Amino acid sequence: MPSTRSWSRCRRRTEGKVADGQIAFFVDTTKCINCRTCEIACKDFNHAAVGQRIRRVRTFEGGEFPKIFAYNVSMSCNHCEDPICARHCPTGAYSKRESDGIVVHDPERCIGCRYCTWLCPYGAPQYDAREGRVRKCNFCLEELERGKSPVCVTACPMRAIEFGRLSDIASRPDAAAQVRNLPSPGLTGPACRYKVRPEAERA
Amino acid sequence: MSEWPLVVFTLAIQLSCGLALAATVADWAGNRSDTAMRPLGIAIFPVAAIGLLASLLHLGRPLTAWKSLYNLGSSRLSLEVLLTLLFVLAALIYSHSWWAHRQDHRVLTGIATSLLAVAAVASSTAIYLVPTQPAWNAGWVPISFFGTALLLGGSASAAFGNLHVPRNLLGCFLGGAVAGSLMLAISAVWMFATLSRVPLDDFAAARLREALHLLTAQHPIALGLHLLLTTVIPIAFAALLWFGWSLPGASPLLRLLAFLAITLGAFIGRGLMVLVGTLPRQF
Repeated sequence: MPSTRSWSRCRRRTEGKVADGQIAFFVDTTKCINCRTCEIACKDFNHAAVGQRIRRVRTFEGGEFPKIFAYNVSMSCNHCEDPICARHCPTGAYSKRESDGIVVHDPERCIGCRYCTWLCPYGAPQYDAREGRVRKCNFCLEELERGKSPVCVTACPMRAIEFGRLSDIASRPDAAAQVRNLPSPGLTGPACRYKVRPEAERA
Repeated sequence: MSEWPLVVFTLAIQLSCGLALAATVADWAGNRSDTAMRPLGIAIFPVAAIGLLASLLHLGRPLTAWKSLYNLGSSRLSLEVLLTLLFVLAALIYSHSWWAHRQDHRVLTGIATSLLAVAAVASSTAIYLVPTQPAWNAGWVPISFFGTALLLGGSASAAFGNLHVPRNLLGCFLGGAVAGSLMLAISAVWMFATLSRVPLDDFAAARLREALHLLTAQHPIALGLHLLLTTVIPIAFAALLWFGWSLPGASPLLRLLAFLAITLGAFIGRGLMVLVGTLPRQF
């Protein structure tokens, strides 16, 4: 369970121990309008099955009238510093690349046990019953290797999704690792950062 | 719910674990007459094998199941698969020795089989004890697993074993069933305590709230049935066999019905356990 101890551990993880080359997404939740173009682009590029949402946009609502608020968070795999999927996958289908910290899933090794879908607090691995295996965001590696951006970054009409080195992103004054209603970053050390309104900041 | 094969797998492995313990205790206690415990000794392997086959049905690609041993270094699931395979192999040898009336080294084989069975169940509990699953990550899961092993093993031994065994051995079986039953009651209380917590993390708090709502508002009848069939029925069954009925007079049909009711209760409970951890995620 996340506790005060895990919070302090999270700070250590998210501020100090991340590999230099780690790349990460930066999502500006103040710009996101929940159009889900990123979801569709991701589904299209990855040939995702029906119901398989490798990137998802979720809307959170709260407050009391007249002071109400809502914010949208677009999220895929967080390419965590301590990827629990990679640690516990029985086939070793997950690996974290040393060069850029991307957590890559090899579908050929996957046997469809779905343990990773239980473990990941962000629900990043998505099971496809038709293929009998799991898929998740591989940071559009093919695109990266061709010098291009991940398709969600390219597709977003609001330019709400960016990517870059985590060290650069985390040094922005508006980059937060903790967002209200999202799992504690202390669990797995996610590499993504968010720009949030005050009401979306974790209490 | 697509996790039914896992429910069958865990219950079958725990039943065969309980049977291995009961057969070993009976053998060790000097009750070497094959007729008394033979059916139970023979049953250990088929029950465990059914569990293993059921686990394959949970996989999207069952024909590649052997790959699950690739990550023994860090994966709890790989370790569970290895220990379960070793247990099933030991169960094959042990059951065969009962089948073939071989008594040489049978106690030793029984002890080894029982130890592997306990290790397999322990590794099974470790699968669920992960910090990212707040509903499962508490002591109620191991207590439930080992309690189920004792309950099902003890009840099966009393239900299908030859009751012309020494009274202290029957007491062992019934005591195991009652102990397992009490462990499941403790596990249920611990589960509610876990689900009722309000942790610092709001995401975990929401998951626990949803799990509690699922049990108390959506499946209260199933929950009540589980508690009734795994606590009241086994204790009544044990009391009737111990105090009420003379041993030869205990009706085989009644014993069969009692065992089926207890197994149904364990099945419902395991299904609910899986449900609280596999609720749809916000993310």
